[in-house]
Amino acid sequence: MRAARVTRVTTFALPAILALAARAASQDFTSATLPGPASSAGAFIESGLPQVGAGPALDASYTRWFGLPELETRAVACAAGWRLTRVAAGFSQTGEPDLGWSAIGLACGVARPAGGAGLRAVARRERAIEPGSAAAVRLEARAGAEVGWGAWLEAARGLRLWAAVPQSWSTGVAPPLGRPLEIGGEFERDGLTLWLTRSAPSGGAEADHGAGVALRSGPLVAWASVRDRPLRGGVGLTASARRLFVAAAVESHPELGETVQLALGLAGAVR
Amino acid sequence: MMRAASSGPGTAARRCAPGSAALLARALVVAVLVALLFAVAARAQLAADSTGYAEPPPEEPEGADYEVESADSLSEGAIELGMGAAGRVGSKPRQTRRVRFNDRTLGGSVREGEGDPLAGGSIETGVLAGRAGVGRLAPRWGRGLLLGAAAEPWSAAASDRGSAAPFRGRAGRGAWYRLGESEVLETLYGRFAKCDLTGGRVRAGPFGFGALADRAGNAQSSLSLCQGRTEHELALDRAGRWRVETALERSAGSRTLAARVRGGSADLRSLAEPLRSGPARALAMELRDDARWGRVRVQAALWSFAPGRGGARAALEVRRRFNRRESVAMGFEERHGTPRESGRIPGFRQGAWGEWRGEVAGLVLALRHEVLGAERLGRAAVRTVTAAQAELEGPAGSGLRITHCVYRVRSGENLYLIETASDRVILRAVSGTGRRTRVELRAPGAGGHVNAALELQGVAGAPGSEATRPRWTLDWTRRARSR
Repeated sequence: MRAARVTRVTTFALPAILALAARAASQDFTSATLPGPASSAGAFIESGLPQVGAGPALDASYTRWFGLPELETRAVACAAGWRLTRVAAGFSQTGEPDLGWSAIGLACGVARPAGGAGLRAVARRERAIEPGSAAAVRLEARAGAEVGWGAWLEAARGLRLWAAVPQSWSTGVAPPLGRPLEIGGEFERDGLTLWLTRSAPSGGAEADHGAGVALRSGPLVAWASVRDRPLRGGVGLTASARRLFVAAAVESHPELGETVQLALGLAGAVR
Repeated sequence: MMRAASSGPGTAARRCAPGSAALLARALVVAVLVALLFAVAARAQLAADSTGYAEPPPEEPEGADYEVESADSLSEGAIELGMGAAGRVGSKPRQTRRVRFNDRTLGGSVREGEGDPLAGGSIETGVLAGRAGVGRLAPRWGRGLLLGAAAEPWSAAASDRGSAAPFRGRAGRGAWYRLGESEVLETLYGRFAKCDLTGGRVRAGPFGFGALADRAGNAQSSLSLCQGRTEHELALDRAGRWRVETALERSAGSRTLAARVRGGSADLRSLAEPLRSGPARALAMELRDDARWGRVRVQAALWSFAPGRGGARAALEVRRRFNRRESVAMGFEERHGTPRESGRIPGFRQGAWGEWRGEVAGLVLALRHEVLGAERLGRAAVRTVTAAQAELEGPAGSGLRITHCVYRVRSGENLYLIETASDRVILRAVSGTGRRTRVELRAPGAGGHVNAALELQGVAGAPGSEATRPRWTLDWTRRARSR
């Protein structure tokens, strides 16, 4: 029974991860928020793009990748700021005890209303280590780390451009997803936000592109997004009351199924 | 030196490139279109400037790193000390030391370091109503037909030859003497291209006459005429081989038109710089508009080294400044044939690049993407580069700059990434598919400035191999007054 489950997970999870690797997707601290400068602690750790607000933030997120209960990510993260500096820390677990991994993430940076830049680092460790295996003997066989950075700037009123390099350097066990340089831009006016992203080619894959539109109405933000290779779309909704927010997003992959993201937290401003 | 694009009828190139007549016709059409575009662009307040595609000069091997000294001048009475080390993790570092000084009558520099391509020294002093020096030689005579030619066939002047060049190149080593501030007499003796040469040049008003000779009795002479912004040069050797070049420049307001024509014998080689002799025939035009709103630059050039080996290039660069801190640049380039006298002929290439740069207090962000393809509109890409750079200013002149680029280079092609160090510019050759992060930190320290850089490679290949090991540099520089 257990062997069959492991086989099933391997059969479905690995192609899913490989498919995900074709784009600059989030992974351990993924959050159901819009791309670009972070509005949640997890998103800051994920992209290295610091949030504008300096107030304390706390969020918990849950992601079920491609409808696979064996491939779920659970994460908690917190952030704080003082004057221009921003820091964030988080903990995440992905997968089941016998196949998954745990991760801790740290991010720090500076942010102004018109721009910001940050560094992020994530360290992972496999949750199940068989005695006598290579992973049990060598640290680099059971753990890995990655360091990256991000920066954004307000190029014009309502127009923000960013660059995120989540994996400038990595060591040890390879990250589950290859995340190359992502360049993006968003334009916001009167509650309407449009965004475009381009991820640089990674390995033998071509560049990926994404686009989306978000509409804000009072405490609600609804958005729809689309990505290529393969063509797929997603929708999301965020509701906030004072500093509390709850967010949900669904992205449908034509071959691998739906990915569902949920987030709950406290933040100064939710996008 | 820091740009590239070419075309050329060669044996292989002729299959994919049109003949000389067609190229000429195309160049004329491009020139007309370019002129129209120039007018439209000016009206639309667009502007031009870009780094384009960087490539080393023709005397350097393709696919290898290239380093050139920045022509950073010292004020009178200043002395500069520098120490540095560079290497890869796990390898023995390369140490460098340098001293530069500039006194009222005496100036010079000394660099040393094992494996440092810029190692060596030069010193100059005032003597006999002129100045004399020994060491590095990179002179330029007239249009550069004998000494000081431009690296690229489409360039009007060398960026690393002559006293006013932005880089200090190295054509040879030896001694020189120049009489008077206007350099009415210049003599030199040195070793150029593994050959000992003696030469001299006299200037009388707009005229200049120079001659070069080697120990074997080979001799070349140059007659030049410079009137304002029009310059002519005729070069001859003993065998009767000759080349002539005329360059002129006219300005109207913020706009400048420059043209250059060269003709002569294909087998005339400069004794001093045979690998930089350049094409025997060339026609080049450039339109520039340096307006307050930005810059536009349009170039078109045709050249031929020898029958079957030549090229053509058309390029447009536009830089629009939105304010003091923000700009957007876009460029287009088409090449045929080859810009080099020997080696492979790349053939048709067409590419474009775009760059945005913005700045807020203490933070700079720049994004750039470029593609060069073997087919029209950049298709069949041979080089694709995406880069992002963030720079943070810290207290007391400190700063942090991070540059990340992702590249894909087709087999047989070369890509050079520009690195600016405290005392030099490096064109780092990369190939294949990969990514690179360069972290640079500058800070005051020990009475001077410390610059540190770390390069993290992410290339396709075996982990732990030479190409994937991080590269680092550490440099300390201090400037002081000698009196």
